[in-house]
Amino acid sequence: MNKLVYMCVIVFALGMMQACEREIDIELPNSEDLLVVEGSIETGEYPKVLITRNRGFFNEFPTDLNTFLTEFVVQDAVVTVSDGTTSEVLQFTIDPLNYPFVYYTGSTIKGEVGKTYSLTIVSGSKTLTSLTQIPAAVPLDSTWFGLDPFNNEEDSLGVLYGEIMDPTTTGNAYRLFSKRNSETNFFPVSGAHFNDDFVNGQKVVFFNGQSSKPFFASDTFNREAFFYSLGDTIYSKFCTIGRNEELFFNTLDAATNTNGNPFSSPVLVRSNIEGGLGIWCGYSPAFDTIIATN
Amino acid sequence: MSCPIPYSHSILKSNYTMIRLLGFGIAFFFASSIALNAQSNFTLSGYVKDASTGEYLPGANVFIKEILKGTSTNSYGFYSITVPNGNYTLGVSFMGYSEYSSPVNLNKDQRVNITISPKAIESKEFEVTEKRIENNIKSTDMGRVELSVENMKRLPAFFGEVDLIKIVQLIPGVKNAGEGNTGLYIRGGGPDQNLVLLDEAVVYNAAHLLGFFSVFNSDAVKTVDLHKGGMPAQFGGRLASVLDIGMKEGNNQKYKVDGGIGLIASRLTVQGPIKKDTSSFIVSARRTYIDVVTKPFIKSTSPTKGSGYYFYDLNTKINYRLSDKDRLFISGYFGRDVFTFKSTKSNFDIKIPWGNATLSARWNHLFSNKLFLNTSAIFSDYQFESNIAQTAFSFKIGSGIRDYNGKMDFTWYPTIRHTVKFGANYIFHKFSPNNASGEIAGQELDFGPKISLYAHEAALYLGDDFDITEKLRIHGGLRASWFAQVGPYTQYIKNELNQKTDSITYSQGDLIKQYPNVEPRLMLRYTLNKNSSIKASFTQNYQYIHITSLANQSLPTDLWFPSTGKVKPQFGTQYSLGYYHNFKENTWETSVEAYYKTMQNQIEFKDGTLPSSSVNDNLDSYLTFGKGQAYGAEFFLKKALGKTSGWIGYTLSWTTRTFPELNNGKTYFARYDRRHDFSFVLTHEFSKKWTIGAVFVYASGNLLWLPTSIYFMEGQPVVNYGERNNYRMPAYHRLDLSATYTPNKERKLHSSWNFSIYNVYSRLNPYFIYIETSGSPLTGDLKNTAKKVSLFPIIPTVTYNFNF
Repeated sequence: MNKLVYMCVIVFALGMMQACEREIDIELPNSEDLLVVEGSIETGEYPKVLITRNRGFFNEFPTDLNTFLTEFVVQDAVVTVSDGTTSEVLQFTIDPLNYPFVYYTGSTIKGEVGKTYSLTIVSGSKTLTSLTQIPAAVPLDSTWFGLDPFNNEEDSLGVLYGEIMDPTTTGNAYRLFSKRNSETNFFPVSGAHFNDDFVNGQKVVFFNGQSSKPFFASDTFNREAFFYSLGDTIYSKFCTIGRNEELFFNTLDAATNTNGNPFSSPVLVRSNIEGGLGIWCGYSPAFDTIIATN
Repeated sequence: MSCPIPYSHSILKSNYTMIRLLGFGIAFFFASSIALNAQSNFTLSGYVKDASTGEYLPGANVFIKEILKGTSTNSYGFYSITVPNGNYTLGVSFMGYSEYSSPVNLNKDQRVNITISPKAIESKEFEVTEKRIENNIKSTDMGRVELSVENMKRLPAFFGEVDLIKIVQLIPGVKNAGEGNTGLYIRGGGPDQNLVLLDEAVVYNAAHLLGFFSVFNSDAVKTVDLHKGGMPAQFGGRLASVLDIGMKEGNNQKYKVDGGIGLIASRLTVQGPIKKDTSSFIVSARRTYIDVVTKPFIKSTSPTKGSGYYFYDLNTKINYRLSDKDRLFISGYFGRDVFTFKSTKSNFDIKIPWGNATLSARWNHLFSNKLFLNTSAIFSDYQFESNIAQTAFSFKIGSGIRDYNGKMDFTWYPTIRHTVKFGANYIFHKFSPNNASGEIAGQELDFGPKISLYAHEAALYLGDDFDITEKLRIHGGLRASWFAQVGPYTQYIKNELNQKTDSITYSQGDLIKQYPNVEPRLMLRYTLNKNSSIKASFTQNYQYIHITSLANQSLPTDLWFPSTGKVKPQFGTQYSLGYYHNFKENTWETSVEAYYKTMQNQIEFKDGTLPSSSVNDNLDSYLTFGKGQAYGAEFFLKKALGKTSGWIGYTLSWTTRTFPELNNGKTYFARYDRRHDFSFVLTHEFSKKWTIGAVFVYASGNLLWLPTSIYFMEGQPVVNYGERNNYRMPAYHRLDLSATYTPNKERKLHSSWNFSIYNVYSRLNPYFIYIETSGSPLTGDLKNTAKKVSLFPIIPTVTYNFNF
């Protein structure tokens, strides 16, 4: 045992241990041509349906608006909405002020609480169908502003809190839209949708940042673009939606979040469109407006 | 240890059918063996032990030289041979040991305990021994490989850690999951289809550090035995394979210390007699020290101070010879991985511990010189926990599986033509998949009640290795298995949106669902001549527990889940056919095995299931069911003896899955479908001081499921996936080299240096490929790029090993 003292230990590593990352070219199988539906019908509003096409994964994207409109947006589809008694063929419209800017809309059928609306789209050889309902609106009891709870540095940025009372029936689901100051469009708040699986019949308090502006997603996290500031006028549109429709937004979020994560299986987005991709959703809104104060 | 097993009449009732079937098997056996018992026969029996350590040697060939007939020792080193009276020469041969030979005058039953010496110590030359019983030719085993742990230590070691699972992956038919991963995919089966046993205790997650290291400390391991083809009747409960690992017993002759100091971990093993020749102990520990080594370099003001990762293992075993007929073994394993992450800046704190614990108590009893019994009581446990805290918010999610297991295994040697194994096994399982709890600002979050699932699993088996004629040998076996899910359990009734509408509550011990089954096993060997044989096998297996995973590879978060009313037991049928030929007095062994396998009731998560979906819910309502198929051929060339030894293996294989609810019902290739898999393993002893080793592997790339198109939803790009597993990654290949220097063998302190180079030509093998989306369509720079991530370039390591 005393020979232990002669023991010497050398441990070394010449290899570099960091991971190595390279860009590679990969060949993917050709994709199927699919139509993508972004359709909504809201209480008191005409339906709006944007139809676009998918695109090969590594294909370049058009940079000018005209090419974008012709290559991506489907303008010649026959889009029919029916409430079970009345049906209407929607007309294609270009409306630069209101999202989604290019869409099919109507002039007869307006959303009513409790009604189920069917959507039928015929374009070329493709027929797409879907159903949605406008549920009764759950009231938005109050909204208020609070400084960022996770930030130790003092500044004037914060989040919008909201409170609702979930009804005792199961299967309620919600989605929050907001805008601030002079913004003209309500946009969905990223990740701000939930269902009552864990909160059925309870008081629910939630908080969120600003709505995400379509096509302006940034790779870098920008606090000013994410939080509200003291003094902002904050408009909330809190919509009650169907549980199935919420599942679409839930899986859409998860798909966006796991995209690129090599350890997770792909999350398939649960569309409610038969024969295509996307969503046809009935919205039942409740509104509130506040000025952000401390 | 108390065992909360609710008593149930139904166990007895459903086992009645199985007992009848086994009864039929036993009757068949007696009918075939009575005729052989007419002569006056005597029995030679005893144990085979290592002369230097006193450890019992399983798998040693014991034979009567005059008739070249014999048997091999069982898992506890026991043998028994019954032959007519006469003068014989008793021989023992075992790889790595010198040949034993002794005359026996057999006119009464005799107990002969045999000690044999390791060759390296006794003789200076590696001789090719004659009359070695050609085990691979003569046995009925198909797809069975035993590995010598001592030989493994001469091979290149990843980061200096000798890892027996990585060496098992070099055997044809066994695939790894990717760079540095210890996941095993055997003949098209998933990682949950392997029964991994450590001293008979099930190890549910055999991986450390996301799979880069296995939980088996090579210093504490004595035997590694893999069954990937025909599974004998004493094993069950899994479809693909049994990896049976035996711990050392501890030297009962003298105290001995073994240690190793490596790049990322160190090991220390102490063993010795408690009472010489009667009892001994072994304690072996291993710990990584990345966290300890880096600690001094982290500033006390660092925002991530307190973050780190480590794992450790502890193996202990004691054995006691109570009498000539009774021996007792108690062994345990405990290992944990601990990952911590702290960020003072954002008040963020994560702690994720996970690991296995096993405890086995085994009692060997000899009823007679022909009947051996081992009785085991086993506890096995795997737990995973994730704790996340940030300011006013805390969240904890855990999962695990715990078993209480009782076993009785008989080995009976009625005549030299028969080796009969029969026994019974009972396991009580407790599963706790995905149980979450949390609070925000002191207010508890309601995730619903925690859910645990309980089940009984039982089996009776009978198997006989039977020499029907000189040339034809069969292993016939029957395993009757039974599984029952029992209460307490709350089963939710769901609507089409998977929402809970109602529930059924079962109280403790209530039978929810049971599955009685019979599993036939048949293996045949036909000897063509002294050097070659043909083997065929047909086996059917049931598997009652399943891993459900949303991830692409084995992770500590994988959930074990029992068969329930919705989840039916997995059922596998395998046919194999093989040709075996040895050359040059068994110096060279070759074999070709072809297999075809079907797997029923395979499970996957439904499309669109999120990792959070099943929290505190009935997990089985998120699953979908399908079937699998696998076929291929394995080519094996092995040089077992001499200064140069090693093997070349090649596998050509296909593996598919078909799920009605996935991939539009179309059959697709499984993730680990691998067309070509080649491995080359070599060790060469240059001199007494220098041994070199080399490993080369080449494998077709793993399949990935990549998106094929992109679309926009509310202005955000969304990817759309095409068919499952539509992309095969570039091929994987790698060369590792090692040199082991062993100076001064005569001194009391034996030491050796292992120099290894991992990935000699620094091949950047793909670990994973991911897609990066950057830019925005409005600014015109939206772009998708594929990126390949490789983990390990060339890595040289040095490990110092010593013993005294």
